[in-house]
Amino acid sequence: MSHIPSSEITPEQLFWQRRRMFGLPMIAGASAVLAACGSAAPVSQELPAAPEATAATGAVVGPSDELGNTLTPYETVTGYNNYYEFTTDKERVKDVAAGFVTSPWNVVVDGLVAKPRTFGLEDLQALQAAERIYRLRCVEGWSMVVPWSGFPLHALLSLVEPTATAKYVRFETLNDVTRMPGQSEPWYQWPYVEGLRLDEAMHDLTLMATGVYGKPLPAQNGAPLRLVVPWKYGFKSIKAVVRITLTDTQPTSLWMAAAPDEYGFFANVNPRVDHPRWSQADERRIGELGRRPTLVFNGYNDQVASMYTGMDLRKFY
Amino acid sequence: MTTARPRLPSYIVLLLCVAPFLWYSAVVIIRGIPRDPVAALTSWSGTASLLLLVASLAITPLVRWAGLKAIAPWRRPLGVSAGLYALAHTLVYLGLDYGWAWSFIWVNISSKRHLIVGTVSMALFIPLLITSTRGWQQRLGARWRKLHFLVYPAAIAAGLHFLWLVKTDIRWPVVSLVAIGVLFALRVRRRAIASR
Repeated sequence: MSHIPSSEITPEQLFWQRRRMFGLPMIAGASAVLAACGSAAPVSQELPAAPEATAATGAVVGPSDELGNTLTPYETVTGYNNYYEFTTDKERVKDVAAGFVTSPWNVVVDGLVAKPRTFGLEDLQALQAAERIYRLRCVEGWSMVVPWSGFPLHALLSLVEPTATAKYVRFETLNDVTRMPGQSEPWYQWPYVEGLRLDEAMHDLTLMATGVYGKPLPAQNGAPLRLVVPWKYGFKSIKAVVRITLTDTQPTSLWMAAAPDEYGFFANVNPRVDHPRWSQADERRIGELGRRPTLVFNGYNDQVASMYTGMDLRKFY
Repeated sequence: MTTARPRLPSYIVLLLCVAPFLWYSAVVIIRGIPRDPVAALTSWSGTASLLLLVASLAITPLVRWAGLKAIAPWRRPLGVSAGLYALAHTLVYLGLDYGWAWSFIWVNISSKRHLIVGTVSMALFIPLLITSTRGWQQRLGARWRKLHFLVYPAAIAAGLHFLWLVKTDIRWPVVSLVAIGVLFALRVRRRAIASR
């Protein structure tokens, strides 16, 4: 276990000290504010981090999520993931991504918006900060618990003012094979594209992450800016985002194009809908032996289920 | 080619059998313990089994058509170690990955094609492993050869297990299946010629 120098360990401890000091509110506190928000109206700002919010919700301030799941260690979160732009070997993404330059970086936000704009990273820093502990469920059947930092996507979208005709949000990763060697793989149509329905994008759980464990996001985790949608399979949470486009048609994601029978647009975590090649009823938390049951909407049922009322989730997988 | 039976030191084939184990041990020493050791053990044991299986099946054609008579005794140890790696692969899946949670395991094994063929492959391998000793070979006599012809369906099932398991990059599964198919065809052709 020689991956992380001991100097890297201290910040994690500092991270917990900071958490205790400020008493950050957990996701339960700000839940369902935007549920079923189908309109394009700009969304009000999230409650600032306030100690009383924590007290009111009884959220746990410590190394676990609101369900009592222990956080996955920093070295595992940053040393094991899928990021095909670099390599398909989950154990090696970290090494291959090392040295990936993330500054300067611009994010174009365009399409069906009143105020299209190109954001620099420094512009995004001004958006409200959020710290969220989310469960991450990979479609492959493994999972982690990750403390992200960043800002809710609705904070960004409200700045560009989506028009009334906007129905979907399309995200695009950097397309540069000289910096992302995995993009020479002929099996996929690069760049990586993902999409959300506008109400999903505006949901308060939907996060744009710029950090993990209170530190800047490492290259292998999608630096400098990535999406995190905790109730969907991990592949929806697109990394190294350079473009966000509001559209009126459903975007076709890279995975939908590569294997339409295996990966749908919604990709909500659902133990009752199998992947064609394996059951989704169970998952293995990385670092554990044995399996645990997978939760409907990855355990965020109360916050997100109302967005899918009346939909056949077997059909819209 | 000489007709005298050449001899090779037996440690060479032994080294071939433990080569995957040594290789992955080196990987651990160089790169450190994998972040997901269970996934790594699963993939490594499966890869090792398939490689040794193909190597084992290649011995007979090599002896016959390339005249490499000295390697004829390698077929059995290579085949046995392929079976043992497959057994380790199965035990890692059942015990370490699923913690013997049969309800979860059954849901998968009964419905997913790569697990169905994987189970078939392992099921075919078990009698072959048990009867791989010289004692069993003598006891079974002519039936031993018939029984051990099952290694071909077992190998094809193992190759399909690999093919149906991967996401999109099917290069290596296809290479394995083509190799197994060619070796199987050579063997069947030889049998047909012999029985003429």
